[in-house]
Amino acid sequence: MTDTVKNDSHDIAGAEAQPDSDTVSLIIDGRQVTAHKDELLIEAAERHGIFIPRFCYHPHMDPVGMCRMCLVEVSSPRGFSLQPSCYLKVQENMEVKTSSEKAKRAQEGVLELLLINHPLDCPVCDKGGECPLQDQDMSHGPGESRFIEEKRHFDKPVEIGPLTYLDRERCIQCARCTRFAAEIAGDPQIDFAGRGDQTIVATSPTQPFDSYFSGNTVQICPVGALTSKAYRFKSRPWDLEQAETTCMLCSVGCRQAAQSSAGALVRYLGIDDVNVNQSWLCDKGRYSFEALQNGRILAPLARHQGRLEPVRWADALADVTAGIRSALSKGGNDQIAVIGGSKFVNEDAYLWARLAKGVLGSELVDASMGDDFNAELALALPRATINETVNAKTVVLVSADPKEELPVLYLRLYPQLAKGKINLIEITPTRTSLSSLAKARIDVRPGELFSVIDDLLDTTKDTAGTIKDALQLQNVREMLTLSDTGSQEDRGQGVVFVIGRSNLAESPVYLEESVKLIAAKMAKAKFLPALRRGNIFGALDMGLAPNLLPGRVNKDYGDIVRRKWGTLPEANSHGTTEILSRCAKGEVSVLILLASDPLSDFFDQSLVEKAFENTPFIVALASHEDPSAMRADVVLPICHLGEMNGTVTNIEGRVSTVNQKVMPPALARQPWIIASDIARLLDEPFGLSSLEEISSEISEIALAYKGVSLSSLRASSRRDGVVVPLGVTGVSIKGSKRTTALLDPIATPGIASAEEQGAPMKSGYIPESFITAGETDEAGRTSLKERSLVSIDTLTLKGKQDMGLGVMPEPKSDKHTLRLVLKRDLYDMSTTVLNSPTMTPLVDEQEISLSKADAERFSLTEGSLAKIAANDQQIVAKVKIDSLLRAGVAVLKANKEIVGSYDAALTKSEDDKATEDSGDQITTRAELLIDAFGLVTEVSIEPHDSAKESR
Amino acid sequence: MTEKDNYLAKILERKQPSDDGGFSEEGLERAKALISLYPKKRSALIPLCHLAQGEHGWLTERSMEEIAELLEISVAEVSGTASFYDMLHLEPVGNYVISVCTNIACMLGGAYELLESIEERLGISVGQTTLDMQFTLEEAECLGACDTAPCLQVNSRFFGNLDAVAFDKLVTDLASGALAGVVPPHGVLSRVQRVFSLMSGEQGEAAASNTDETLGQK
Amino acid sequence: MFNPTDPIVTKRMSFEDSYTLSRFLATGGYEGLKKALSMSREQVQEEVMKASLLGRGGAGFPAGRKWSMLRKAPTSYLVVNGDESEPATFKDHLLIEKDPHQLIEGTIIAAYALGVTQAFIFVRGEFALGFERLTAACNEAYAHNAVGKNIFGSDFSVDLVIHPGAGAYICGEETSLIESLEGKRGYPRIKPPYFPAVMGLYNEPTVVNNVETMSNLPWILQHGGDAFAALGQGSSTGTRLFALSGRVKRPGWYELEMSKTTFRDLIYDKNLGQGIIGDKKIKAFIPGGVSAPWFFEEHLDMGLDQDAVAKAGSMLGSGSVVVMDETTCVVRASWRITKFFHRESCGQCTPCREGSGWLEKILRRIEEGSGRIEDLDLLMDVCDSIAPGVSWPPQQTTICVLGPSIPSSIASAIRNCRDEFLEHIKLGHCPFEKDHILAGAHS
Ligand SMILES: Cc1cc2nc3c(=O)[nH]c(=O)nc-3n(C[C@H](O)[C@H](O)[C@H](O)COP(=O)(O)O)c2cc1C
Ligand code: SF4
Ligand code: FES
Repeated sequence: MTDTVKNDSHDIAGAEAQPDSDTVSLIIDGRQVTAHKDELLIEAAERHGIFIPRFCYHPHMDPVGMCRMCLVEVSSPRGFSLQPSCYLKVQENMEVKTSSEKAKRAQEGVLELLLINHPLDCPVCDKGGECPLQDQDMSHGPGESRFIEEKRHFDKPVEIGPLTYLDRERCIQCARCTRFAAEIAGDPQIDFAGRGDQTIVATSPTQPFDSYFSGNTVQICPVGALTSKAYRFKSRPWDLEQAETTCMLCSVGCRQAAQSSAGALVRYLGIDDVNVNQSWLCDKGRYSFEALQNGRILAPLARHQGRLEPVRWADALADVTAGIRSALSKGGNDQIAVIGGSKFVNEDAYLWARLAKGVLGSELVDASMGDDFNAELALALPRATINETVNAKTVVLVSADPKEELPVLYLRLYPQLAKGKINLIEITPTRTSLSSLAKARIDVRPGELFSVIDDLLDTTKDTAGTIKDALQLQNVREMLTLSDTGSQEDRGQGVVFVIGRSNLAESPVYLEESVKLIAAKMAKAKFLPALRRGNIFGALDMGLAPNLLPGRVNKDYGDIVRRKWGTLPEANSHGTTEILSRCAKGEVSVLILLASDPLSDFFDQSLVEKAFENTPFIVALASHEDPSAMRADVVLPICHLGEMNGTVTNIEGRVSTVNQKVMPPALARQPWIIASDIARLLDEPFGLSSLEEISSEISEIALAYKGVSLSSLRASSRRDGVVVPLGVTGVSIKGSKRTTALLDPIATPGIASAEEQGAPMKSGYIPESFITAGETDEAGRTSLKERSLVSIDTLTLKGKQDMGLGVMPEPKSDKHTLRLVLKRDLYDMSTTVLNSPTMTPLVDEQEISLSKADAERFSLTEGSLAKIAANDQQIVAKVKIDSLLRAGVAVLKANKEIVGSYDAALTKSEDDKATEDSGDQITTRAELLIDAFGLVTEVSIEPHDSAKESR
Repeated sequence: MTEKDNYLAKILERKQPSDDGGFSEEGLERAKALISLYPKKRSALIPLCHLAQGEHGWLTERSMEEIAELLEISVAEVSGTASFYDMLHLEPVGNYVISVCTNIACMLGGAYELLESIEERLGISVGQTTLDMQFTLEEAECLGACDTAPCLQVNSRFFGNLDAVAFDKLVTDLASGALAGVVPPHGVLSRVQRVFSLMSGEQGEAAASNTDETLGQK
Repeated sequence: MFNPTDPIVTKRMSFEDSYTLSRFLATGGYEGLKKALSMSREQVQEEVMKASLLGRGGAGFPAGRKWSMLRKAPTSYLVVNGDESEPATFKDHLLIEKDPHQLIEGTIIAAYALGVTQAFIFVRGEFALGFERLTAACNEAYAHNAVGKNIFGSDFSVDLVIHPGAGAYICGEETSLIESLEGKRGYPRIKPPYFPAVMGLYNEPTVVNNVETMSNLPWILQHGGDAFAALGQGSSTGTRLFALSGRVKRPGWYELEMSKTTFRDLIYDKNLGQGIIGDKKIKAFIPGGVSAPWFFEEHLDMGLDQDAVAKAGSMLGSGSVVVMDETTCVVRASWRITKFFHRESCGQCTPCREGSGWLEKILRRIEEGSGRIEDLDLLMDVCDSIAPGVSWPPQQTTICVLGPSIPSSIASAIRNCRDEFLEHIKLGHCPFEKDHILAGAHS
């Protein structure tokens, strides 16, 4: 029937056409072939090995049939006519000639016409050598040009956005970039302008192309019209070497190709992994390669007389072990704490977990840096894959804005929402970039999430949050499958909750309790835990988290691990906030930072400051000179993505490989080697001497990772990775046309020249022996066969007092006027952004968003400065008035550039007193307090007078 | 100040009119009324562009931003769409936009000869604006008045059967204001406004009718 | 037999105040609509079917048949095409500006027959006065209860919106017009698979009809479809408004009975075109807008008949006839027409966007005296890239038929007046003594 490999056992949902009602049979170039009834002719032909030339067609965008390159002869009742094969769907008994004389003549004609006005400046064009126009001219072009007239002229490259240049002379008007911006990214900041052969791609006169996803337009431009600032003139395709790898900037884990030239990383390109990123990347991920060259730590450093100085590895490690020994001798296992690790590959994380828990015996271990929620809960929930999420009936967003924190998840959701294929319900304290597409939005005040969820799920109640209208509430409940079925068991069918911290200033307990309630009340609901940090799921799965052990199990199931590791800590712990509080109280002797920078990256910087002050010995494993590393006593240089190997686990539990492309700076090491050395120096050697050995130890003792190892993933049939626990295959959606994706030179131009071109990628391919067949529901989705190894039951049964419903902190009294929402932007002051020169300018200054009413109340105007004090931190921020923000809420962003300090504000000036006396504006500080429930309290706000400050 | 400076200053003045280039209050009301006529907001894009152009003579950046806001689309979509259409000007133009048809019927009637004499008379070539910002000259495609070839439009009002002499008189009349009743300011498409909202039997204000004097010409 | 004593669509044109409601009512206005409202929808459709009214927008598809193809759906629309921009066509201009109420009446009749609740009249932006008068007429019609709620006391209600264009020829193409009406760039949609009657405005079923087509309806309703069909011959029934221009003594619009009148009548009759200026010889004429292949002297005695013209390899199109005489340079004429298409190509399809510009450049070069012999083959070859075979009716590599319209004038000129091209090339300049303004000086 087809010429794809027969044992494609991942196609359990029948995505490969089976001869049924969804299948049509047609004749292409004299061959009888079958295709799915929704398949486009160009795709059906390609699956059967017939390549029809094309430019405007893109497998992940709706066809427009504009460029006319893909014309073929198609039969109709009135004879054969030329039709665009990228636009036409296959039909029963259709007869197609793709290379008849007439079709060839048409294709040649189009190519000739595309080239007449093309500048043919290939030698200086970034795309030269990997250009589909160039390639197809070779294969389908007429040869000699007959065009002797003057070519069309436009000004040479114009900077259309902070990261992108446009050369309009090279543009072939295929509309790929404009369609991507509008249909996939929902950022239509570029559009066609003009008409006819004066048509250009253009921004508006007033707004630059600063979409978070601009780099994708560069990647899909089939010529060199769009180029990126970061890559321009960096290399030529034939000088490039490439490795397939996985982005580790956020937990989506986009598959990408890392390309290097002369030993330096020069470009990332998205790979068409149909389960994850479908060839897209966000700009932060795409341009993060620049960070490899800047701000690196080149040698181990140790503090001598207050200053960090380069030392030999042996000396640095001796210092570290001495510090550890003295801590251990001083007061037992709780003297040593380890935070960070989400930037590590699984093998590094595993060995550090083993060192921390098995050797040092400490439970003060956490990779999640305080912006996540309980790791046990996150891992125990029935998890949805990305594909399941974007094909769900209803998606409920109880998390931060995915566009800011999980950009490519947003990119997968947006087109589905824009086409009305999913119902979106938002339950968030502020609007997100998807709000305008939401079917319902419940605005929750900080501290009220649990009661809103409780009301929503309790169908006897007639109000929930901001939804007071009974009919609307009924609709929402219907979308949640709460009310259309009598059976409790079916509740939540087809619903996926994306859950995460939408407010870093609010205690995570509200979210955790809400999630437990949802899981209890909606038996069929699934969850996509929106923990955002790079390999956070890998780190958690490897045990770099309080109370968890490798393989997604907790200590109750620790026997296998204990057998290997020897001992396990007895105590329990609650994560980074608790660790830092202990440090601040002077209860910790050694703090080890695993590629983490709490000084800039933890929401409560004053706590970190105190922790650093009161911890005698701080060790930092760091790739870059970040603020925290520079405060440490010993700094150990480590590799960065691009320089290391291993496996990572993404948001859906998919394990894929990370591959080294370039050499690390001279003395940097991969973290597992450091863990291994320290263990050896402490006389408890692991006996593991390579990544492969670590990997097989993981697959041996980590339950969820049984059978998944570095070497098994490196087999080309598993290039998309596998979702663990095994038994869940790459979920293919019934009716989906694309199960195998080629590294198509047009879909992912730039890969055309790479060695891997043409190698088939199988989605989530898993050897037969591992498959536990999933059930297929009516909607055609293959359900995850649950094998969660931590269950919600065990959590509640264990009756952890602090997680029980009863002990949720009561919101503080409402006498204060504002509640704080602290959230994140894509471009923050993170190590990556600050060390990537083209991205650094994109970080904006701290702003405080207020509703109009509140701004008026505090006499603040748009753009004016406000002084804000939260706990012991004081900052000055620009005021932004957000007409869509509800009154009583103020919004700040984490890790942003601060306009100024607050020092002067604390000592009140004479003028201030005068104002106070006169009774207007700033009355008493108490009235201006923001009540933020739990984590950040004592926030005050008042107009800022910069003149006064400078005095 | 040289003439050229004067010209540039005038252009700048038009680029940043004393108001911010956005809709007047009345314009905004009318914009909303126009939007309400369509099942989908974006349909009002061209009518709104005409409306803005009627207020400023051209499509200012600010008005495009306002249109984008009103229609809930991006500014790039407004400017990109507007730039598809010949009548929408994204750059300042003179008070009178003169569009000379040179298409087949007019050409056969001497349109290129007429155009040449117009260029001479105004001292500018096609695509340019006179230094005093009075006249902008365009070469138009068929305007649909071929029985009066060669013909042209001034601010979208027809004048036909022209030669150099007749054009000279036309320019004089325009300058003297003698044609004010016939040729409204550039961008004003209709001096009559729709007064009925959808499915209403009632009329918003006194219905302007075709017996109005303004309509009696041509 | 031409110039029927009782014109169908131009009967009010002689009145100064033809565009006012009072004149309209005094001359039988809205009687057709009243009659229609007293009939059932099916009966109205039946009358139009009987009239065998051919669409007047260019394609000549029978209006009744088009209506019957409208997909049944809760919401559907009627869009009247008043974008008239085909060069040398100026009949809709006349009908909009001089008799707006007749157009509204026809539109409401069609809306009733189709059962739509909202109709749009898309008026070419350059017709500012027409737009103004139509807007005023629409106000009057609402006030007169000829539009809006419960029209003339019936239970039929429909809203009418007069929508201005903004200057783009392509928006006359029905799917482009729909896109433009949706507030987008005027890009024609690909058909098949979906035609407006299935998926049109806002993807709802939509009928698009020309202004003149609509303007015929009041008469058809008043006098019956049979009376209409009695005029003309074969499928070309009724009268048609022809626009005559070019090198004739008396250019203008003429409402003529179809088929029975010949091109010779139109061009030479003393009541019509009155012959060629200076009594020169005719060289060629365009029978139906510049998209149509040219006709020559031998076609003069053909009737103004859709089928006959089609059989002879051209089209009656938009009903505009342009006359070229012996003083006309065909290179220049085809260059100017090609320049038009180049400027008006929407730019979606590579062959149309790039081909039109290339052809225009080559033609201009020949006219300016730098032509090469091989340019003639090259011209035909580029035409072939747009319309394979360069034949009529054309095949196309493009989305809409603007593309394959481009070769019409070029192929006509080269095939019939090859010598003139060769002379240009040989002389190194245009052979016509008249001192032409240099072609393209103003492009
Ligand atoms: C390039 C192009 C331009 C057209 N321009 C017009 C036009 O200006 N007016 C018009 O009524 N039809 C025009 N048409 C025809 C329309 O697509 C459509 O067939 C017509 O409006 C249908 O109305 P009818 O059936 O009443 O003729 C054009 C078609 C093409 C391909
Ligand atoms: S043929 Fe020309 S006008 Fe028609 S859609 Fe294609 S490019 Fe546009
Ligand atoms: S028209 Fe099919 S690929 Fe462009």
